[in-house]
Amino acid sequence: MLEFLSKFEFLQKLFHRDKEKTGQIARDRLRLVLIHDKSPIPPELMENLKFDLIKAISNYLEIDEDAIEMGLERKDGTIALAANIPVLRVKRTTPAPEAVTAPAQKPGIAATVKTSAQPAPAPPTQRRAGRRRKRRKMKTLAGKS
Amino acid sequence: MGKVFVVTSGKGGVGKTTATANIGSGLARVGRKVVLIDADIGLRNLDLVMGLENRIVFDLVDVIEGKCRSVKQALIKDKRFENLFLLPAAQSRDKNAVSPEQMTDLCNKLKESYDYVIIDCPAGIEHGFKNAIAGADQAIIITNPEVSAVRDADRIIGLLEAEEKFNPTLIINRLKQDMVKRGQMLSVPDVQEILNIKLLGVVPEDERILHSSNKGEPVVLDHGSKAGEAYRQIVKIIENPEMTAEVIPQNGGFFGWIRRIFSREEKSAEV
Repeated sequence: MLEFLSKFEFLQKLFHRDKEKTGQIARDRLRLVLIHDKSPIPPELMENLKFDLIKAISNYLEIDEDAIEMGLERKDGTIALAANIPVLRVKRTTPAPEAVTAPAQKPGIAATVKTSAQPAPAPPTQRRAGRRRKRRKMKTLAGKS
Repeated sequence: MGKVFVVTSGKGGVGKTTATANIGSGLARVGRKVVLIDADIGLRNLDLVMGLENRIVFDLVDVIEGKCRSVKQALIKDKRFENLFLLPAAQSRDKNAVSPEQMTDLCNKLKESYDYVIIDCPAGIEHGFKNAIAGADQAIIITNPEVSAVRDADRIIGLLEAEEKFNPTLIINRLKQDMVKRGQMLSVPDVQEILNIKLLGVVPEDERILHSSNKGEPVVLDHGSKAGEAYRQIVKIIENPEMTAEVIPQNGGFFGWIRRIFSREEKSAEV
């Protein structure tokens, strides 16, 4: 009986190799949960952070404030603050940057800072990108947790 | 002056009682005078695992309440080693029957006459836990390579480190090396990195543990058992704290299976 069972297990391993490396998932989840256990991030902190982020980003982009998702995420063994902020459009006029200049990722924004004229309204692809990003983010959050 | 160890984990069922029985027996095996205390009042099990359940006359609560003349009256001498004793828990009381101060007094008394006092801590972080750690100098944390166990172990380590006296060391129990190799179980380095305390030893998953508790004979005495070998290693390190723990490789693969079949036959011939 014992030999039959171990032979069956042998065949199983040969034909149905279980590739799911759940050990890594366990390790990453543990790391994250222990951070929360030891120093629970007070809800006020997240709320204030969200408010400040909205204020800063709203200087350049019109965003969907109600659809913002923000939280700690684990990625390849490191913890990161992740925020998903759906963008509706780039603002026509933007104020001069107050303190540290954010890196100009979109040439459109850099242009508006120097001149007050907006070259062209944001192409519709941007909105689609935001939605796509959001959908992808939602999938990964659901999948990995 | 003896040392008082508490064996704790937070999570239940990870192997505290088994570890207490085996470390105690292992130390007695190398000639030390050892007393084991079952601090799990109301849910006693150390007596059963040691095979001494039929020899209980007085228990821990009787000693604390002065119902017997002295601690010595309540201590049960082990079947196999004359230098090993057990102070069983009470079964019909609960953890409020004893206070941390009373436990400290008891441990201070006992460590004058024994090389090691080992306390089997109940699961949890409430009164039973506080009683068990009160009289201890050092803590041994037992965990399994599994998310809930490690999380609870981390909590316990946090509670102990707050008092700065326990020098907690870690035993990872029920490791399955083949699952670790396939990436399906937390590895020893994973758990060590998360808990960040000195590793005392790693005990592999072993069927012989069940047989040993079935019979009431600690597996540290079973020379065919990998878990037994691990406990013997742990005892060596407790006696020589400068030593570092080694993970004993498990026999894997087809030839390991063959080897295990033959060693099983040897064992049944012995028994």
